[in-house]
Amino acid sequence: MEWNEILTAIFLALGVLISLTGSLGLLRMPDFYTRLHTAGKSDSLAQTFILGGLIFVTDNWQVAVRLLMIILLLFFTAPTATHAITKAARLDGLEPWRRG
Amino acid sequence: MYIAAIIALLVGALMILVRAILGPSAYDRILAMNAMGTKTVVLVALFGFASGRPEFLDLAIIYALVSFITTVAILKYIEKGRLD
Amino acid sequence: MRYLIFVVLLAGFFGLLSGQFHNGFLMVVGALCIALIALISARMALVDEESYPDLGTWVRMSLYVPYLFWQIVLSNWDVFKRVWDPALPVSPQLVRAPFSTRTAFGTVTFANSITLTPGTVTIEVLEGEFLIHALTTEAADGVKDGSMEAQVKRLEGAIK
Repeated sequence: MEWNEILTAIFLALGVLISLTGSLGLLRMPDFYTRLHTAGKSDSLAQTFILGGLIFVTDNWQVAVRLLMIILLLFFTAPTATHAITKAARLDGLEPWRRG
Repeated sequence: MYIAAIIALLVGALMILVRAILGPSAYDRILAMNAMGTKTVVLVALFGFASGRPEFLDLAIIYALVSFITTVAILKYIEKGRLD
Repeated sequence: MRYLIFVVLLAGFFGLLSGQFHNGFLMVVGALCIALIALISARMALVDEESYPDLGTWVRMSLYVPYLFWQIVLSNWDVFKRVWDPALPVSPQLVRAPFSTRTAFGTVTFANSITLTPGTVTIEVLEGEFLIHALTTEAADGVKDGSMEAQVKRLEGAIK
């Protein structure tokens, strides 16, 4: 493997690990608000790592620009979507879960 | 390398799908769907690289835009009961 | 002036995505689309000064982004530890935290930054305070220490 492929592999592994954490959290957490924590946070970092890692293996500048564009797009839309969901749930009167 | 990442992401997508089926509230399902949308964008991009056709990235951009608008549209419908 | 920047940005976006400058038909269609979008945006009054901040804001923004990114990494590490722990050590609670940012831009940035820092999510912006859902008691206390607010205020800088 070339050095850039190794770098990409590391980034992909990190991103996939974070992504799996988010999915598992979504499954395990007790209520909607706690699920927000795992889903909203892991998504933005996981996609940055995976798509950012892919930049190292491409030699085409158009592909690199597109990858950067997707990263920025998701970086701005993901938290906005998460917040929109939260606000809708809050207005609907969904109560947070408490331990005990 | 790409195939391994795709399989791992699909396992994550399966977990999200279970959450979307279990619910219990509509908001849990939308949250799961939104997370699934982000995952799909990454999957499409990875698939493009795995099959040596980076043109798939155009689809990924479109999908990212559409999935964001879908989430907001569904939320608006739930909140207001109409879309106008 | 603002519309000029807007049109140039749209043209740049189109050029980057298509990249086929030799194809005359595509370029003409692209120019038509850009004109249409500019017309619709003008009718909807979408292009205002909020979309085009001055140079100083850009500079302060580029200083703020690394700080934010580091917070996101810390936050993911925190979530990572808790999710894979079999005991699931969370004790969620709602807290209210006051804020004193002066601009809409600053308040939005502050709210989104709280969402991205470890263990806290902003649920609602109320009059002069945020409603925050915290995953743990430590996270709830961490919001109130004000270090992030200082960062956001530096970002806000001299905006009136």
